[in-house]
Amino acid sequence: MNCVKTLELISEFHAGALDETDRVVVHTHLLECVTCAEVFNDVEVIVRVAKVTYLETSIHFPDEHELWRRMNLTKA
Amino acid sequence: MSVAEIENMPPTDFELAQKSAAGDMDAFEELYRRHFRRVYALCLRMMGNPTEAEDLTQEVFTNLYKKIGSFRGDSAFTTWLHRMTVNQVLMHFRKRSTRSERTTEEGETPVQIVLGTENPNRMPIIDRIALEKAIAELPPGYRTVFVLHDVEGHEHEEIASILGIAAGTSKSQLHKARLKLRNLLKEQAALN
Repeated sequence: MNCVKTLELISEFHAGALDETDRVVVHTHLLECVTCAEVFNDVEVIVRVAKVTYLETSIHFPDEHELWRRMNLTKA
Repeated sequence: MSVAEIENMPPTDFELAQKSAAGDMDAFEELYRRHFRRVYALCLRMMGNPTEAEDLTQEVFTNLYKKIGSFRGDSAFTTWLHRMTVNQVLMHFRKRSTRSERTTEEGETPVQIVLGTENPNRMPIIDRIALEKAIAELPPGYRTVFVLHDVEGHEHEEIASILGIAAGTSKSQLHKARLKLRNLLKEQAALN
């Protein structure tokens, strides 16, 4: 498998969504190709950091009372 | 459970929605208090900008107030509101002025990975701040799918249903979004 094809399948490989044949071929390519392995590792890091990005505990929420006050609610 | 206990139970979202539809503003305010944080958080994740997220949160609840009578309780209120919020953000994207960057037919910036000519340095160790910044720079279509899948944890089938696209399109957009993020993060690092 070449690099272009491997890169196309990296997200599916990461999700464990490839069939066994493709999974083995991509895995083998990643063991042999440093460039593709780096892309895969980077994707893995991005997905991992994304999960803790924008956690509600890290969000600075605006004043909900003020926001409520500013809303001018009228039925359509 | 005793009658007293049942009477003391807080009203469900569905009950509050029904009261709101009948014009009970206190009931609607209670719905707002319950769901404000969730709606704002979703808007912020999709917009990447607190001011726009605040404006959109207002728009979502204004729209919710107008349409509350159409909630029949067929799905969970949170699911219904989530979908309404995503749709509101997508409408906002569509109304936005045209972007100056070059786009493909799908309205997205092409992702380019040129093997062998990449920066020899690996992508730097990323933190949340860097990733938030990069997410905010994604084209809206990529950002929406990335946030719904990798941040919010939805499956492709759910995203397809929410956005009215094929699951395969969702997968493809997600993949392109991740590669685009990788490039953006490397660009950020090169500038620092």
